Amino acid sequence: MDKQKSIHEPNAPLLSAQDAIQDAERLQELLWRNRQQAEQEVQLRVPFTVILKAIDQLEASELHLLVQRLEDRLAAVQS
Amino acid sequence: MAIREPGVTHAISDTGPLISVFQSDGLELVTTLLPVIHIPPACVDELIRHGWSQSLHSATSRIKTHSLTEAEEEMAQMIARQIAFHPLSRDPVPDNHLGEAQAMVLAARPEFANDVLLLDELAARAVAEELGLTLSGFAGVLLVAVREGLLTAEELKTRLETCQRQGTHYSEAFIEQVYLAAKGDR
Repeated sequence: MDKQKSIHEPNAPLLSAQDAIQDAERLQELLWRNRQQAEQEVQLRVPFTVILKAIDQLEASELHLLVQRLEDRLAAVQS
Repeated sequence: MAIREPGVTHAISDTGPLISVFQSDGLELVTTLLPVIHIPPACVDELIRHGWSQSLHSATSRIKTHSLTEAEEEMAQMIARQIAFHPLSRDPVPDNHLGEAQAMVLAARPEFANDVLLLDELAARAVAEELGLTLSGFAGVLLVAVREGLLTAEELKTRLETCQRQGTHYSEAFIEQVYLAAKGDR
């Protein structure tokens, strides 16, 4: 077992909830950008019906991710 | 230089967010998003001083320690002084800010240009922003985990409350607002 645990700089002011929300937006954007850079190396042409069939195989957590991605993409296309 | 798969984002962390990761048993979750967490020597010293050595040593495949060059150590000393004398700082002793200063120097290396620095303290964050580093706190990482379907909003709240119970100064209002933001994301 570790010895008695403590936190670091207990009196330091921490970020606000608004900061945390902005952090999440920034981090999401960074993750997306890095993933996109990797994707550019393996671009494929996939028939649309194959994408639709693939969606039928997804699990709930994957569908949630897809919904978020589709909403972001739709917002970008419509703006 | 660290070898990594294409498209993967790594983290460089200060001591505080890593303690939150350990407190909430969140290493598996965080490294699903950010597979490797890089830390400087001062953070290792601080983690050991705060009793987290076993947690650190059992995570060596996912937490990498980097030594700094002499020039980087000098730069970290300078940044530590900036943090100590920042208006948002409540601790004017530069040595007490060496962990976050060294983490910033590490994050500024070209090999980490597309990675994220984990930092929760306001004064250090203000200095890191002036240096142009990409930042997130621990709660921001949890929010992204919710967005990516790795965690529910309720689980996020439980993890922040677990950290709070173990001494991390997340207020009730902070936890509630982050929870509501997480619920809004789903």
